Amino acid sequence: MLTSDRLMNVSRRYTNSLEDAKDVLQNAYVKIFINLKNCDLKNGNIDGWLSRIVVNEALQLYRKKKKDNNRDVLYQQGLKEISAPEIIARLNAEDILKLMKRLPEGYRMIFNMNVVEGFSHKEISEQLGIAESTSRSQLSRAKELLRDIINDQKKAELC
Amino acid sequence: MLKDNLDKYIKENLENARVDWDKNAMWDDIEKQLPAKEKDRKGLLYLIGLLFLLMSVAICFFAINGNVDNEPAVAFMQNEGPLDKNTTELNDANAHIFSRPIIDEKSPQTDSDDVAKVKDTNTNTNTNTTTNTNTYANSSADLKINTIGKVKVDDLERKSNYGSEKKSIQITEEHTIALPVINPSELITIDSAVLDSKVVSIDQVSNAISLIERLESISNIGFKKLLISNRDLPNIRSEQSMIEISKAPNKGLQLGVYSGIGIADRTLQSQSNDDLLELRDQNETVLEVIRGGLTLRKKISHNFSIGAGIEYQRINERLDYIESSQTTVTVTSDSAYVANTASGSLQYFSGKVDGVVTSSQRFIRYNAHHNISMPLHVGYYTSLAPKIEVSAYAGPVINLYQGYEGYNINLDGYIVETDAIRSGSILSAFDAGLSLDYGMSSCIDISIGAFYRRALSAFSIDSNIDQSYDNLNLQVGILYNFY
Repeated sequence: MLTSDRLMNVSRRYTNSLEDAKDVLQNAYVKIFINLKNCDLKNGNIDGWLSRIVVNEALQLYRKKKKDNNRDVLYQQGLKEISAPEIIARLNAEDILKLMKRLPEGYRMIFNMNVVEGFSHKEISEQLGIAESTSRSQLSRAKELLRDIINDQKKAELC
Repeated sequence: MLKDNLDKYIKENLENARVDWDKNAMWDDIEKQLPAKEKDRKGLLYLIGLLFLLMSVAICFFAINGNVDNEPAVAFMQNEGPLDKNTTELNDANAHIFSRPIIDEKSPQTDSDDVAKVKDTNTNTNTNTTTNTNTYANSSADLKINTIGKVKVDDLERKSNYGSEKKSIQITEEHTIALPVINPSELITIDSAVLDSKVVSIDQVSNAISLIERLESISNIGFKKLLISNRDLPNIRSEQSMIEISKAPNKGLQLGVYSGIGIADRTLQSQSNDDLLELRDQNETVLEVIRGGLTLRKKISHNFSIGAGIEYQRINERLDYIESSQTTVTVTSDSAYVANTASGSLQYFSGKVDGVVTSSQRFIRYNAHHNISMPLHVGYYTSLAPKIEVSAYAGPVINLYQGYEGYNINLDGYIVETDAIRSGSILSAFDAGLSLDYGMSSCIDISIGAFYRRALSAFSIDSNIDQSYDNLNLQVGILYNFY
């Protein structure tokens, strides 16, 4: 996979639309090119560095949007067991992305950062300006909600 | 377990997901957004600075070496009394003028090499003209002596062979050179010098040595004729007037090549739009001036010179501007609202949103003003020290061509590529400056100097704002002398 595709993939995970993803990636690339001379290409993890820049750019957009419209819908629903693992197995990347899009943006950010990118809760708390405990609880809720969404999907298929 | 599987499955899928998107369009956008690559002008500035430094060091070095012996020795005798050219005998006070070293034509080779085979002889050299009964040294006691410089014989000989320079002596009525020997083992005293500048250049000393050598090959009579010739000069009223003739050599025509750097002060004048003027004033910066050219200078009488040249001048500028635009858009979204229904499922309602999109883009552009001109100068020069000449000059600058390369802000506040400029008058500026020339050899001079160029006319790159530059410059050059 080309680096640009990989970074676009990262950007897409953190944004609501393809347009936002493009904007994030574009801004990230501008920063990458400007700061390329400062990057230790020999010793550093270039892929990690590139991903970090894209994630940071996406978070910046998220914070800006959050400031504009500070009303994330929080879902407080009970934990439901996923009763049909086969549904998960049938989901491809695009389906998962669509499911992820149904998560509130804040949840999605934390889920992506922790589960996909491997950020620790401490790092997430620093990046998003929240408490570590908030990060943990929101990740938990993000997962619950994701399961709910998958279950809904299953119900819809059965009907 | 399922939870872990879910996380892992989602992670793997998301990491390997492919998104279809138009990369090419994004690369174009990124390229526009990237700041223009800053031109690497540091190297050029360092190079010019280094050149300037080397020139300065070289001038100091040669100036110091050219004056190794600054102790007085080359004596100039001055007699206040009038000289009657009809007098066939000189009194003591005047006699020294014509007290020439006489060549021993019988045995010139037996004399000391140190004194270039000049003998200190007090011979009545010409019965028709002079009667000299005093030695030079003795007569000097009665005379006013301006001590000018001291040069050892060894130095003289060495410097007479300095480089590949060829010395040629033209004994004209304008030269009176005599070389009486005070102390043959150490010194040569020359009673001809530059009276007005009080210096004897190494050229003159070398010329004197050559003269001695030449005199060896001529007879006493020939030498005396020379003296007679000098003495018979019209309008000689005193020894001083006689000796004043030994002036700094007029190098005549000089062809030079030079380069330099400077700083510029830009003046903007609005024709119709003060807002645009303010915008440009805030967002444009003048960086530096770089110039180079050829010059032709002719030394004319009374230490004046005239000159003309062809010069290229480049003034670099930086434009740093944030261009912003606002567009009103209406977005119809199918996910503008989301709500939980009574059944617990999510329901989406389409929405319509009007908004103003404000976009901004920062432009950093490096512009350049190119100018080819013909500076015309009138100057005054004078000798400052041996081989060093200072000159002041001033004159108009004729504009031959000017152009502007780059971008400018237009009336709408957008960045546009600059069109052809509207030039001002042909008389573009006025120069005034100082330069210091050091004679590396008889043919080559090194010149360093500074000058101020005051703009006399303006030009426009947008037909709205007139602009002009005053600049202060340093320059170095090499001059070739055509005698």
